[in-house]
Amino acid sequence: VRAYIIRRLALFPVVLLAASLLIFGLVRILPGSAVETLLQESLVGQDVKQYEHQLGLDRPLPVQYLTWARGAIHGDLGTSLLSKQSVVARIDQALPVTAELTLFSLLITAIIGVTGGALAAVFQDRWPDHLLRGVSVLLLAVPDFWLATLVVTLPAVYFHWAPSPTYHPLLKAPGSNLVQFLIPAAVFGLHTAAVSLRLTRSQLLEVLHQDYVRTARAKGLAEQTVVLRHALRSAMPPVITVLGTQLGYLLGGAVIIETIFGLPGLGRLTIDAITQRDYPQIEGNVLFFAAVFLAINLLVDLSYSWFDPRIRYE
Amino acid sequence: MFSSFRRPEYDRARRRLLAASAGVAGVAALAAAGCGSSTNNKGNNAGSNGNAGKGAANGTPGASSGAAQGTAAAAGTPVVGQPKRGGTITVVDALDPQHLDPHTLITPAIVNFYSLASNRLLRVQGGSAVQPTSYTVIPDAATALPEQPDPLTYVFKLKPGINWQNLPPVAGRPLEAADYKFTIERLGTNKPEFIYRYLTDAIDKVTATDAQTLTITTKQPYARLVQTMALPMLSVVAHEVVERDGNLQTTLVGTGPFQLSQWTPKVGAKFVRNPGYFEQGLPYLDEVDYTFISDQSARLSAFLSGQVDILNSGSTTITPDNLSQVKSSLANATIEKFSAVGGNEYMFMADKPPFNDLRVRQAFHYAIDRAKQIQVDAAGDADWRTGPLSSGFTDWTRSKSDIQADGPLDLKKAKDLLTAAGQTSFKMNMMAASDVPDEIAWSEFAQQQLKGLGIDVTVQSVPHADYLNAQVKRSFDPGQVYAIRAYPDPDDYLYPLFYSQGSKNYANINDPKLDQLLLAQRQELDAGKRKQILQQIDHEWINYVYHVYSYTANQYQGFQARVKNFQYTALGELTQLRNTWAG
Repeated sequence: VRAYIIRRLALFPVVLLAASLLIFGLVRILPGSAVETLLQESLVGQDVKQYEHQLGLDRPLPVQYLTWARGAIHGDLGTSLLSKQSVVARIDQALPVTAELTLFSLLITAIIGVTGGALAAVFQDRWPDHLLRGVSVLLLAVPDFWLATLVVTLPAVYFHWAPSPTYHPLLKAPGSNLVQFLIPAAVFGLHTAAVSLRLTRSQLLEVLHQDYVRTARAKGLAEQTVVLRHALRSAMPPVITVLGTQLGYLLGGAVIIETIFGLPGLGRLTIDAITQRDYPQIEGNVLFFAAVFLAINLLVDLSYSWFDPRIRYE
Repeated sequence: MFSSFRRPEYDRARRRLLAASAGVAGVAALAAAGCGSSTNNKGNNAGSNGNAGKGAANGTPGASSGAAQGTAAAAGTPVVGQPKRGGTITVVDALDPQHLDPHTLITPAIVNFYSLASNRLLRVQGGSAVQPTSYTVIPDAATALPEQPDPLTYVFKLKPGINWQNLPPVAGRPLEAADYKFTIERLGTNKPEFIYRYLTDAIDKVTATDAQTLTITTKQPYARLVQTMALPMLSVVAHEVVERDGNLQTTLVGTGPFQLSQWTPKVGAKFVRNPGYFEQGLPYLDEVDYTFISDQSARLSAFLSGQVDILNSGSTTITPDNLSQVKSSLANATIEKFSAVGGNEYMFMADKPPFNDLRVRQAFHYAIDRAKQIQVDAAGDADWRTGPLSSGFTDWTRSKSDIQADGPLDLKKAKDLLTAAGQTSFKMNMMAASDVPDEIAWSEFAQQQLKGLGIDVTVQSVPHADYLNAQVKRSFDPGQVYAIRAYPDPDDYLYPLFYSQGSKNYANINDPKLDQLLLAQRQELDAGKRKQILQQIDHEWINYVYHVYSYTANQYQGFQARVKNFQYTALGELTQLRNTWAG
């Protein structure tokens, strides 16, 4: 396992280098520039050139990339063109919000998805199965941004109630924080839970029909033990893979949920940076997302052997 | 209700900031002494009488003789009801300021921060008895409107006993005229990031004659100097902060009624009462909480649920579509409607065929069915516009009937003009920013309207940055929906865009007759005469038609019933919160 981990870790810099080149290139081919956003209606030709020079944006792209990459290697992702703050500091401020939202959502996804999927499999073709499958189809069909908007808007219109518009940090106001995160996490998590539910169901059904499960039943093991200890664990690797992918989706999808629920996380930071062409912030955020993705993938791969001891790493 | 469009939201908010300034510009005017009873001036239109005097408010409608009136006005922002001390008011805005430097940031919230925490020489009168579109300029840190010994010189006297907030690095020292000299000069720093430096273009020299006296000398007679001094971006800033930090990006310290106690980017800010504030007994409130919600539906929900008291992004939150819903949900809340200062308009390259021919531009003007466009694109909630003076400038603009008379739909005339110009059929592009839906709607409306005239309009929907680029490079061909919607004074719009040497003469206009009129209104210190010139330009626009106008949309703002003695101004800034209390 150690050799496998070292090999995977050795790939990190290569993948990040490729990702950084891609990010840098893609961001720079977006139409418009940060200068236009910064100057807006004060925009006159002479100012644009002068400001671009001031910000170093008139240098050749390879030079700009190398300067940025050199900083990134040393943990310096540059300074936001708009806020004039360090990109790393801004990521650091926003990360706890997105991390909490994502983990909270993942928890809901895992609990509802796996439990619901297991129940649907155990009660195959009976009413709980039909109900859970129906609900999962409904959740898949409803976009999370639409659901979020309904959750925010309808209670305000009819009951004069809305989720708190002000962010409460976890460490300062844990109670308010948990209440505040519950609704966005539920909205966010329910959508991905539907995917997990359907996958868990199908995987578990497949396992439940295998010989070793029949043997376990023949040995007189309780159905609960058969399902939870033997079948479900074997059914988990594909589900874990999907959950890992969904973790990435949750990180990326946080953009919309964070905007609607007023959470100052990485998603909002990224979308603001994109709309305002804040190059260093976009590049920093996306590079960070790429690194997190790599780490999640590694952890997902490593978790397979825990769920299914038959899996070996070479 | 959901809106995930960030860009237009940003743009609208930005425009609102500029609109904010617009009010001041429109009317510097009279202080309460000149306006009659201070508690019942609602409906008074300082600008409508046209009595220009020799005083400092020259160049603005209704200007009177300066200093004495200013003193009287300063004494009282109208108060309605029995003030109550204490409590917190929550304000919501769409966009948070990325930093705290008011001279380099266009985000509206930053000027609101400064309107709470600092003072300008002059400000716009507020309060529940004041009409939202009445932009009476009154003294703020100055004792009165400035004296004007000659047409180029303005002398401001500071009120005694004003101290900076007791915060580092200023630590409560007395405010001096030199602080305003520093502020004005820093605002005018000749670097591109100082986006408001154009406001000081006409200023020749700023002198702190003594600790309490500031003298401003202009390069030539400049009609809007007084109004400029009432703009929120002219709030005094501390040189000690700039000397310590090199900028104002992380520290806000002022002389105002509230001091910033907490600012969390993308979340909000908290202002607490300044215990050393110079206006005795003010402010009434203990705290002003400022929260940022970028999503329109979430902002509206926060308002409907009563979690926020003042909707400071009303124009991007309450729309004609949801207005009745909001009113029925919050029967006791105040929802105000404003005339906007600007609006969309059609712009053409004036030096290239076919629009270098006046007759073609005139044909475009006569082919636009303004009544229909107001119904189609503005849900019927807009004012006609046929010339450059938009209805938001209530003290400059002409009567609605006069305006409507100048913009009749006349397809026959349009056809005749095109025939006379030898342009019976041609193709043209109309550029619009793809992320601003109403610009696209305008382009499409022109496309439909002009089809009957044999003009085949292709809507060019381009990314916003390309749209801006085309302006700077003057490369749109030949038309664009121009969308600068607000500006502090008619001159701020007219001069840069239409003067041949103007910095934003994107359409390459070179019209000596128009140049002459533009210079004349800019340098005319007599408000009545300046108004005549501006209205002449507006009425005779058919002789120029470098832009074709159709309508100016209305805007909405709202606040809860518990907010007492508060009223919006089109300034959108929060100076009047010092006189507001929580019920």
